[in-house]
Amino acid sequence: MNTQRLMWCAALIELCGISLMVPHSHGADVPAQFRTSMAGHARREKLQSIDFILAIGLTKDQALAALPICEQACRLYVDGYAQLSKIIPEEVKAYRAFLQEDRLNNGFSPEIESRAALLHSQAITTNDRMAAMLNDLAVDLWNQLSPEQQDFAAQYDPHGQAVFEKYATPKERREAAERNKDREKSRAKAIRRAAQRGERNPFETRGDHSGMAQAQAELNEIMKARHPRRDRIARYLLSPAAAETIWKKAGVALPAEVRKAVNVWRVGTHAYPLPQYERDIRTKSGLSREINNWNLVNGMHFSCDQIKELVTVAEKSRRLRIQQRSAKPKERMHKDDYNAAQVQLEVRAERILRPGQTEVLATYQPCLIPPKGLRDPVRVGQANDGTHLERWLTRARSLDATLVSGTVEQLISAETKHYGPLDTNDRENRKVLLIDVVSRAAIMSEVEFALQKEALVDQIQPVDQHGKLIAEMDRMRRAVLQPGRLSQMLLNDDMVAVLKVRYKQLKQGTGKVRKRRFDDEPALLD
Amino acid sequence: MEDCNRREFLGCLGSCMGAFSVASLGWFGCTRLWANVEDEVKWTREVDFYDRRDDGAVACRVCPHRCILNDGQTGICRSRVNVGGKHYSRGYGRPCIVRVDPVEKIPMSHFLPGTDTMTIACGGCNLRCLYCQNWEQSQREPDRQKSFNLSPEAAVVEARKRGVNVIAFNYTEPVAFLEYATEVAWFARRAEMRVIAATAGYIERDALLSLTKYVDAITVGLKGFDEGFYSAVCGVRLDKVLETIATIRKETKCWLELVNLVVPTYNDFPEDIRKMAGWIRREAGVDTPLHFARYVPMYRLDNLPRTPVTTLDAVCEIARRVGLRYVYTSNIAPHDGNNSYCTKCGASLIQRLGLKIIENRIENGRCPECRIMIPGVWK
Repeated sequence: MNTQRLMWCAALIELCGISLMVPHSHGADVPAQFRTSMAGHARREKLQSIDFILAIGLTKDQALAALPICEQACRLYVDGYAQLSKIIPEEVKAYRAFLQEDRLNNGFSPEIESRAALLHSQAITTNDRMAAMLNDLAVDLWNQLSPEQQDFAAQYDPHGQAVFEKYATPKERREAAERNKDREKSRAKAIRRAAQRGERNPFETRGDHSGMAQAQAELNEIMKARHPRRDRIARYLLSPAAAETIWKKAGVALPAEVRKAVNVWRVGTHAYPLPQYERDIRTKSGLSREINNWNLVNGMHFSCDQIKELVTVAEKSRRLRIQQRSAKPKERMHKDDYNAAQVQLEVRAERILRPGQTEVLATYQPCLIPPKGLRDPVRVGQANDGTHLERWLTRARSLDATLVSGTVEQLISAETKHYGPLDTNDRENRKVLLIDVVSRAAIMSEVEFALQKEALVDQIQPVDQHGKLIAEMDRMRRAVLQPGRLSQMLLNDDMVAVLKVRYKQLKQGTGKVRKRRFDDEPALLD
Repeated sequence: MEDCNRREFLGCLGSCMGAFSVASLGWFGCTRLWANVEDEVKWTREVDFYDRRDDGAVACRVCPHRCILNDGQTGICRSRVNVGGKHYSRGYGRPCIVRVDPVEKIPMSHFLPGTDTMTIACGGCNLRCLYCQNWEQSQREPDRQKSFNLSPEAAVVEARKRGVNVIAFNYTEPVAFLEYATEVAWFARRAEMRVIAATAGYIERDALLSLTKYVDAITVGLKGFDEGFYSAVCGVRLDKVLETIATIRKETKCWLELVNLVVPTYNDFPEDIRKMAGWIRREAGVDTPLHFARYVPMYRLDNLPRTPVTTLDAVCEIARRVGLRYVYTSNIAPHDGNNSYCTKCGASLIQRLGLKIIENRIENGRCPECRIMIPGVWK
């Protein structure tokens, strides 16, 4: 009862706060500093939506035409929230149980592992589906915008210069110019001071970073293909945050369904209030980070000596980070020098690792459920049934020729989701290759196929563009003396605690083992 | 034509259909049976080690189970059967697994590291390990699982065709398909190929020597060092396995490695490990590589957890303290226990990531730093 009362109080305050800040006139009333001084994601989202609507100059007619689409989007939002409210609390519980087992490094109970994996995938699927559906709706809305509006919407960034240029008041412009002038002055002063001391320009960074930016852009594309993100229209126009503004612009009263969506967006539902949702999301991401660290430590099988040395290096790296963050701008190390110091520590940590560990780290990708190869390497003397591609090829070769094309298409679609999109040409080439290999496999005898299976699979192994780009970026980072994967993975802030716990576990060992008396037990073989 | 009512018509139709179904089932059964008989005859070979008895029974002499089988009965190994007073091997020429694997998968660390082997396995096993990781193959009769038709000669030809120069018998128990394994090994020896066998070592001396004549290296799975554990969990006797290991070391020229799967709470008692390492040191020598493999829940012992890494580290340490020079950990990677180090100068010899060789610094069987000979077969 108390929780509910509190929730409604919070909602009331939130509503008042927002209604105070909602501008009722033109865009010039939205001061730029609002965007930075806002606290809470709801206010921020609302202001960004208003910002966007004003920036693109949405007309009344356009707003009227957008209403049915926005209404549909609001319904989707309510449905999505209802689904997530069932999944997320369970997911947090499942992650907690998973983490407990992960810490022990004795494998996972099938129920705990499958539950964590299921809920994780359910949450991701719900978000992905929501994003995909909103993006579909956004296409209709996009078509109603004029070319100029589309152009502006395409490059809209809530913190970007474009928005400021579009509707800042003369006063705001004057103030910004003053600020910039001051900044320029202080920069020039800092450069002069550094030159007098014989130090390097503090604002210059060494090396060419364009390659890294390009690789990052490609990586983003792949990630987008794996998990669709809401595009700008979906984010700023089809969110309940924008509803009140759009309906007001259209001069129509807010329908009950939309009002409900706005309420859900502001305060959540009775069953799952927004503060709890936000708390759960924070807990979940913290647990994910910790699980990821444990997965890596479990997969690396560090010895006690290695952990001791790694903790020393990781602590130094952390101290350096804190020092850099907390120091006054004048006392801060030059960015390049700071990076160089971190790289030095990274090299030191790299020397602690054995070649096998370095190889594992190079291909490690953050995960909830550790990949099979990491937690359970191919066992000696076990007749495993091979990789998924081996199984796919075995199945495909036994199919009728008319069905092969379909299964090949299915495989390519699944791969595209995982490894990144293919253009038409590459897709066609891959299809030809797969059909060729399947037809070659189909005419082989059983023995011949059993012996050549692995070689055939090697031929059709898809290029892991994501892994390749990550490795490439790591190389580029090292070339310009920037800390890379090793720093991110092993020298991060949370790792020290994880390593210390593992050290304790290793030191404690398994304790005393009591001899099992087989004579006392009933015959196990019966 | 007499009129017939509806009831009579339906009755007549039913009997016609019944007769037709019986006839077609009979025909189908006959053809299947014929096919089976033909298949049976095609690759079935008489066992080398058995005695015929006057009552039509046969007494198998391949393994210490010494099965006595009446006509139609199958042995504990699920692969040998008495057909009309003669003892036949059903697994002969019928491998259920044929694949190319690295030699490290056997496991074998001091025998041609990094080499590919053509691994062959037939169904059946004379042990009943409760944690068997290949139970789908080993605990089923060869003719009750999907298998290939591969004569011993063809096996060698196939390996050669693919440039593989080592044949291995792994995954199931070669004792269960001894006749086939021996013939494959004989053909391989003739083709100047190497042969490796991975066995649990529950085999009679004569049968063992008939196989080792053509085999270059053997890995014996020493599953524990407690008679109670052996009989309760594996269904066999420890003393016979120890005899096999001693025979291989003393009477054959095969390269020998040992593997012990450490099952939590079953065979990880430190005192047993100490005794086992001591026995290996005395009977097989300090240079015999010993692999401690991590247990992963399997088959009927899937209620246990995986072997903790600390336990593996502890048992390795015990074996090293007893004096064994080459102690490895398997089924866990990357781990320092995967790697080979020189016992004299401590230099790194082979760096492994599980079954993969990352770096092999051994030069002509010697340590690159101090030049001492490293026991094993290196070329």
